[in-house]
This record gives sequence, C-alpha cells and structure tokens, in this order.
Amino acid sequence: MSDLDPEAALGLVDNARNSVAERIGRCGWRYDLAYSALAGMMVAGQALSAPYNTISVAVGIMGLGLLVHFWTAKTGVWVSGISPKRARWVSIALGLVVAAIMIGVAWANRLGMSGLAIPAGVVSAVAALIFSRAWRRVWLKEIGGAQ
Amino acid sequence: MSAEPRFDPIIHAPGRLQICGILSAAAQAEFAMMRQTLDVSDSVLSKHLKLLEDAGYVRLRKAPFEGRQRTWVSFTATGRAAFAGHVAELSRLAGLAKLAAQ
Repeated sequence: MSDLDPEAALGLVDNARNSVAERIGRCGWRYDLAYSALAGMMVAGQALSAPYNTISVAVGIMGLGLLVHFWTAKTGVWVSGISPKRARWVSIALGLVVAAIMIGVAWANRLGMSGLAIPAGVVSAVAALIFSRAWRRVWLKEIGGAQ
Repeated sequence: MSAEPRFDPIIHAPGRLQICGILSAAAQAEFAMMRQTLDVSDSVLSKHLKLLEDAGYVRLRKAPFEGRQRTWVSFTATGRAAFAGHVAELSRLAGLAKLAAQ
C-alpha cells in the first residue's frame, strides 16, 4: 500500500464526493422553477387542439434537454437522476405523478372536459417543483460519505 | 457500498482516488471541474486519467460547448466495481486500525 493510510484515503474520497454535492447544490430555485414550468407547460398544453398539444410536449422535452445541458455545462458534473437508490424513487414517483396527470387530462379531453388541462398543468408544475427540491435533498443526503 | 473488499493500487494514488470519488457521485464529470477539485495541472490530471482509461476504469468523451471542446469523464462498469471494492477494503482497514488503537 502507498503511504496514504485508509482513514486519510476515505477522507479524500469524501471530499471529492462533497465537491460534486456542492456543485449540484448550485442548481437552486432557478433550475427548479424552470423545470416545473416546463413540466406544467407540457400538461397544460393538452388544452390546445392538435397538433399544438403535441408540439407543446415536444417543446417541453426540448426545453428539459436544454435545461439539463445548460446546468451540466455550468456545474461541470452530470447526475442521472436515477441514482443512487433513494433519489431514484423520488424521480420514479415524479414520473408516475406526471404520467397519471397526463393520462387523466387525455381522458378528460376525450370526455370533452378540455378545460381541466390548465389546472392540471398548474398541479403538475407544483408537483415537479416539490419533487425537484425533494430529489436534491435526498440525493445530497445519500451522496454524503463514502462509507 | 457493499462490494467485496479488494485493494486496488491503480485507484489508491491520491489523485486517482479523488477522480474515482467524483465519478462515484456523478455520472459524468468535466475535465476542468476535476482539475479544480484536485488542484493539479492539466498534464497531471491527464496522466491520472490515462492510467485509469488504460486500466479500463474510465471512459473519456469529447463534446463541444460554446465553441470549445470539453472532455467528460465517466466510470466504466469495471471501474465502478473496482472503486467500490477499494472503498470497502479501505473501510475494512480503517476499522481494523481503530480496533488496534483501542
């Protein structure tokens, strides 16, 4: 073994992980608000007639891609959102909530209640905001410490 | 991490240990971010990355951003497993050292 003792080596690993956590911590409210606005827009866009409802989803997905690209470039790190374990469940829960709302809105549209898409979009935006904050909190807690 | 403890001399060097620490938290990290965290020169970081890449532990990818090529680094599955084993071994040794000190 080199002259680096195990305790010191684990300390180096923890410091390195903390440097990533510090950078992810920089993605604050601006990221969360943009993320939730895009999620809300994709759902609320279902109030529009075809093909604009599909276009709103496409624009939302592109917007999410650009948002992640911008913050990845700004922080110098990319985290997938589906790792580690507990943070993954927050992402899955958000996906399920938004998917359920989207299906509900599509169903309501079929029944002629297209006005539901706007309030559903607001609910989706709030859910995305809460889950985004929760994800970061869980992720930061989970990533702390190498052991 | 619940990997089989296995000391890895390639990973154990302080610089490479920090690189692996970063990659254990992030799916990908950028070269400049690593240089800043490790507080080393470009050439020193490049040497560490080359060693890890030759061992099959990391993957390097170049991507343009704002007119510049930026290098992104990520773990391979082999690298992730080797690092988990190394950290498990360090934890085991640290535990033994604590017991011996008591």
